[in-house]
Amino acid sequence: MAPLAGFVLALSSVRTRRSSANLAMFASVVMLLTTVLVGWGLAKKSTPFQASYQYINLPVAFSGPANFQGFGIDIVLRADHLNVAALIVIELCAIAAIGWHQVMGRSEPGAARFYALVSGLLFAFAGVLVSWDLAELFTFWGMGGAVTYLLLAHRWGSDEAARRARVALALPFITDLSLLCGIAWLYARYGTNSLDALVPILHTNPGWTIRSLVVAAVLLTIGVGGRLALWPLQSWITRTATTAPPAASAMAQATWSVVGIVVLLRLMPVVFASNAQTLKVLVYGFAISAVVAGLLAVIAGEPRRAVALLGSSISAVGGAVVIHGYQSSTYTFAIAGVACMLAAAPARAAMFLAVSTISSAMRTDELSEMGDAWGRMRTSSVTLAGSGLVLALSALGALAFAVTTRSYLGVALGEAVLLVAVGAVRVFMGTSTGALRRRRAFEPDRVREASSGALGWPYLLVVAGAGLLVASLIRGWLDFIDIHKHSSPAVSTFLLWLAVALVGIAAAGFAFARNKDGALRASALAGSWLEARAADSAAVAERFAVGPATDLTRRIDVWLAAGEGAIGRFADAAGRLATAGSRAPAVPVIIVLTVVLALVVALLAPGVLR
Amino acid sequence: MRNLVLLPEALVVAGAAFILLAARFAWLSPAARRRLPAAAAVVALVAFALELWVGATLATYFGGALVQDRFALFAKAAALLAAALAIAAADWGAEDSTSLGVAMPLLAAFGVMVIASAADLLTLWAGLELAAAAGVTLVAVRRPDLGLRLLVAGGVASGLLLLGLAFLYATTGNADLAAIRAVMIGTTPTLSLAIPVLLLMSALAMRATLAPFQLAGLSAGLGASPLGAGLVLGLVAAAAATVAIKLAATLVPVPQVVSPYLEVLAAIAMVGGGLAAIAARSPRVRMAYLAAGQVGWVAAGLVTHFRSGLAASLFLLGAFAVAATCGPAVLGRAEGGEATIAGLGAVRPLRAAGLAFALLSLAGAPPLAGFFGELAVAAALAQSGHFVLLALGVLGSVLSLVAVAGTLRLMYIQSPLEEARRGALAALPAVTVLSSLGVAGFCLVVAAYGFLGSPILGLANQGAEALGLR
Amino acid sequence: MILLQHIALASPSPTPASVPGANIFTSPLLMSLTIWLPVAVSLFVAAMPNPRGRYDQLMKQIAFFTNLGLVFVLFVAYNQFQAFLPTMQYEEKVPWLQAIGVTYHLGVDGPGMVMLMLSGLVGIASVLASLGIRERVRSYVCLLLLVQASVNGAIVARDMFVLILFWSATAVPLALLILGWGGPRRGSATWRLLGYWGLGTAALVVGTMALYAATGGSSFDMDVLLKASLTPRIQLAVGLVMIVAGATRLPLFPLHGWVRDVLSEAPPGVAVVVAGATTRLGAFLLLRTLIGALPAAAHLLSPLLAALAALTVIYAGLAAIRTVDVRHAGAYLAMIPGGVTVLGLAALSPLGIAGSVLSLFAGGVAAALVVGACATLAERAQSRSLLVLGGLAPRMPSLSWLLIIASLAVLGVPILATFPAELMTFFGAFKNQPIGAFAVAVGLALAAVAFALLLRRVLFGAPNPDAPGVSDASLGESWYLGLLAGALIWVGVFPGGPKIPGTDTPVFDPGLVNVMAAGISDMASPYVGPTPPAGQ
Repeated sequence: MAPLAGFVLALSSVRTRRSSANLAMFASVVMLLTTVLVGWGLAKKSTPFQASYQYINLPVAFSGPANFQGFGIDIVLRADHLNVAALIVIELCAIAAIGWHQVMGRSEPGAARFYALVSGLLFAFAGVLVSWDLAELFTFWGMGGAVTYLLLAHRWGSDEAARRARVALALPFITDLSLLCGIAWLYARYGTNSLDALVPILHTNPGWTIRSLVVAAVLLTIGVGGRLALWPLQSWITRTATTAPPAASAMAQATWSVVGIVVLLRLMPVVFASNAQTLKVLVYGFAISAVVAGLLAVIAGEPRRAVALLGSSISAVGGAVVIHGYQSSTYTFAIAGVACMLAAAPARAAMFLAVSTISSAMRTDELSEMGDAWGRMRTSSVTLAGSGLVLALSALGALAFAVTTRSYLGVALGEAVLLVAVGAVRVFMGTSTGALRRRRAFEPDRVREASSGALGWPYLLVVAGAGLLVASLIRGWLDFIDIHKHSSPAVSTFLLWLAVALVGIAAAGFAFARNKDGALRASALAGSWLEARAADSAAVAERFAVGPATDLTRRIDVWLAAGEGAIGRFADAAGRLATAGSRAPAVPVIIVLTVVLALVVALLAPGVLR
Repeated sequence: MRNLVLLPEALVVAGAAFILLAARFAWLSPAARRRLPAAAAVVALVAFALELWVGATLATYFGGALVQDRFALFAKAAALLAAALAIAAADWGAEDSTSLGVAMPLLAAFGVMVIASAADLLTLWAGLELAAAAGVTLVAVRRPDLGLRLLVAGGVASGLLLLGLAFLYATTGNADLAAIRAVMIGTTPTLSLAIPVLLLMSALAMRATLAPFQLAGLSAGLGASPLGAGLVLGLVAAAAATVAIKLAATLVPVPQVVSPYLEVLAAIAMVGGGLAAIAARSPRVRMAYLAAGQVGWVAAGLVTHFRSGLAASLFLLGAFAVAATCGPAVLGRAEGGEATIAGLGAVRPLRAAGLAFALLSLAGAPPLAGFFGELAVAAALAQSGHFVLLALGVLGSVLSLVAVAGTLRLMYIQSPLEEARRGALAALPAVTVLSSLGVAGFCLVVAAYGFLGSPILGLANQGAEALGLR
Repeated sequence: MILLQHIALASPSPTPASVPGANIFTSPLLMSLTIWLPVAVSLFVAAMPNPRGRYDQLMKQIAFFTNLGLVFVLFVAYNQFQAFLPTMQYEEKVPWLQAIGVTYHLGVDGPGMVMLMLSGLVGIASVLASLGIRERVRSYVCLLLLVQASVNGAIVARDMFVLILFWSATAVPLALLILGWGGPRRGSATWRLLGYWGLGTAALVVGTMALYAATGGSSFDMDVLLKASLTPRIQLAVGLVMIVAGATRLPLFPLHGWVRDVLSEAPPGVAVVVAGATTRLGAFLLLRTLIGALPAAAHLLSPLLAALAALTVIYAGLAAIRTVDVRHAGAYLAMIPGGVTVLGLAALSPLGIAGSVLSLFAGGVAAALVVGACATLAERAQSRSLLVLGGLAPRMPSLSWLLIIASLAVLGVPILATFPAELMTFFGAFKNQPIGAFAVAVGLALAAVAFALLLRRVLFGAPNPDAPGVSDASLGESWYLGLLAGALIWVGVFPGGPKIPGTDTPVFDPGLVNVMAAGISDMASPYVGPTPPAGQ
């Protein structure tokens, strides 16, 4: 409730930048404290805390199948260890973002709006995390989506920002619709939204079919995948990365990844209930998107886009681990995927904020134009390095716990981790090493470290991320966040996966140390080639899909207008004909008409002439 | 009481005769002549009240030549009310002769009354001719040429009418309607019966300015003075329709000879009237075509050769008579064209309201008299399964509504002409106490017709029953 | 005041108490009041002297307070409405034209009550939106009140004859309002309105007469016409005709020709009424006749309905993407809620029907909001062209927020009333009309793209230096849009009414969802799925 109050207050009353910022910060901190309190209360308990409030309860029929006779959405608040942990991570990211924005976002427009939306986002996410009823879950999910769009489109004045923010409304809305369709599909067959009621009857409810479950599983996964920003659904974070306020972008990326992965785990019983092929397809889909996102990150020219793509790649790894881990018959390692995301989220937020600090200081978004941050902006550079490291290693525990190294999946995910490591190091080396060249209207010597108020927050995130990373390697942490016992794998496995990441780090480091410009040029080349292809495909889509479709509506309008015009003309002509009659020579016409009509009708009338 | 029943007729005839004589021998002072319309309106109203009071008694006169039944009551009341309101609401500055203008509506109303209580063919014919003659006279006052044209066309019509009646008499050996009906029961329809009946019907259609026979009547009505137009388009048409209803009731045993023909005429009139109303521009022409369309609805009611259908026709006929007779009178001299009524709502609010009511009622717009009448007919059509005719009729009404919207826009949304540019053609109707009262009364009647529909329709129902229908 | 006293003194209506403190305030002629009070007031305004437009403001105030009073009365009626009582409530029945079986029969069930609330709300909004009207105020106010009266009449009519009366009575005053106070292309807008609505009215008359004939031609009362069991053939014929009638009003895809011109040429106040209230009558008619009375036809025609709904939504989305006129965009986007409503009807499941009833209200308000916001924005920015407008958000913040809320409302985003409606509609539709539901979802996605484009072009982005001067919404405008937005949020947050936590007792508002439930269950009873055999 605290963020909701903050949201309302900030929207209604507060106007000045400082007060609204303090209000939002206060709300978040209060929320964090309460969450910690709840977590402490729950720490010793294995059963979740549950409370409910009736949102809709509507009897719609008094006969027929019992589960279709009424429709209800109960706001069920259900807090267990995982929710609390995820919520704490989200709140940490939010608090850090707010703190960073207070200093670095001074020039941003609409402060009150911004902080109000942040509070709204926190409220929505808290709702998603604690909701056990699918309809309720979607309610908060959609709320969060709307707020996210408003946050990413925050810079109302800038044309570029507006143009890029379009995708942030349209694309996630489509995937959210897919989630809604999945939930509706389930309801239509099982007549319930509550997971507790749904899961037991997945295979027993009359009229269930594998097909329907497959459809539901795919729809739900796409819905979640969109918000996890998995390739090819990532463009809503990548395209807005450079134009949205950095704090907003960082928050959107980090928090949605946590929420998405938790929801994915929550929906796994349904997804799992479909058949093995579906699960296989889904896992490999995630793996592929992890690899592709990693590749894109390696060749991305703008550091912030690169960071967003790295995060997307890690999300894909986490998602793959969740789905894959859920299948193991004895005990689930899905939670390892979640743990990995919990560690990755603060790291990517921190990395994004650090890169934003650097690029705003160097007044460029091109990696090739940056450099020497190590010398000029030491703290940010260190933060960047640390966060990159955490991000590169975050998948370690998940893979070690859940994935066997000698499997295609293992190879694919390993490749993804390698690419992430390379990408992370590339961003660090690109910004921090080499010379910072002089450009037009830009004097390198003017580049200074950001004021200390902004530096602490990303740092805090790195520390948190590192802590969570370490935790994700420890069995006890997994045991804590889902109430199961897990067996820890051999140390060698850890080392193997660690080696993979280190190889990537070393390779990238070596390449950049040798010839930074060459490495950047190579990636830029690939990047530009990819840009061109993307532009071509977009043009093709416009030419063959969008254009004709919208043109069709124009044609329809033209046809309708033509039809109306024709009818109008006909009516007018007929009317003139009718009026022209009054000018005709009346008497003879009438006589002829009378006789003819009389004869004709008399002859034709039924029953007169048999 | 029984002797009072013919008092309304007596009053009307006496009034008309007195006015004509007074005009001929110049008995009246100019001041008195100015009060003539008010006096005539009062006479008609008194007759109306008397009719409602004493008309309820059932009686026959002159050896059964005239009968007073519910049908008579309804038709007489409608005609008298129409005449009274028309005389009151008329724009007397636009009339060519006050005395004729006052007398002729009374005579026409008398003609309808004669028809209403006629029991045999001859009386029917006489009543119709009387009403038509009144119309011709009033038309001829302004446009002798049109009067002549109307006279000739009317001659043709009455010739056909006589021919048909004669055939009917010859076939059935009877002039009495009830007797003819009795004979008809059991006879099978033949061509020799059908053709004369159809000639008869076309003659009535001419009188009723029912498309496609509206030619003469319409052009005459358009050229005449406002009241003359109202007479030709309203009362005379109503008289013809009344005859048609009586004959249709008589011929119910052999519907095959009447219904198909009426169906064709009704369809043409309803749709054609709407279309023509859209194409027409000047308000009176538009009104004339709307009236033609509504007569089509009356005819459509007759297609359903049973009681509720004829009752509905009668119900609608009442609405039609009032609206079609008073419409042109209310319009008054502002008949020139679109320019004349532009902004009428601002400069002559009451007349504008009356005109709007007349047009909307003739178009069958809710919640006015015409709407209820047409929906009653529609219900009857549905009951008898004439869905095509019903659909055509509704289509016609929609077209009429579209047409009326144009005129309403002219009156209420366009700004009026400046006085300087307002020539003789675009002169505005004068406002007198009498005319205001008349227009207000007209609006009241048209608006209340539907809401008081229960007794009126009930009476119409009894009227149809009185014609021996079940 | 007199009105209140009268109602307070009037004999209690048959509906028993539902919430604490009920029956303090009931009336046997509540429904007539909703119809004839505006008529009486408009007659009064038409008659009152107004030398040189001295009392123009007063006339607007009279209209406003009439609406306010009506809404107050309606709200009390709504509060005392017997939820879960399947029968009609606040019924009035007076024999009228016995000869053809017409009775003056009024009454409301849950959906009717919901529609009445919608009409009242939109009425107030439209008067507030009309405060800017300067010329011929008297005629404007009279016509506006007449429109509202006829809409209320069509909602509460329980006799098909009365329904036809008010249904067709809506068109003429609206046409005059558009002709008199509309934009540059008002002429074609009016003729299209009259043409299409005339077609719809004709269809309604023919369908009603067919029902009348099929049920023996004894009565027009809905209790007779809509409760008779007819042969599937007749049901199909009548159902088709009724779909034409509903589709011209709502409007649905092939019969939507009027909507763009009318909603973009009409003055904001009128556009709000058309988009918010009168168009919803189309879906309401389908609910009453096709779904409520012709189950066999409904089963046969539901795929057609779903297809129409999907086509409507998709077409609207695409057209809105294409257009370069902000008011056209608003008009197209206002078609979308109608499509969702019809999808719910086509679902033929209790939940779908409930969802569509809720979306009658929510969709109506959302459509009114989006049309009104676009119209006001176009007026305030002195231009309608998306090629001219740009970067308005910083210069008209409140209008921008309202437009954003409108967009989110049409898309059905949580905490707005359209969300529960869409949720229930989709949940209900996925059983019987999965393809239609998917298609509508696609259409909604297109709408999202359209909104993204619209917001980006109009609100966000760099301002256009050549654009004419811009000013933010006036007080009246922000009030009427804010009223609609507030209603959306209130119902979105408390569809079941705000309850005292821990209890089931509603506070101050029994909850739209609960009220609307009355009457839905038996309307939907033919469409309940088969009870599964025991033992499973």
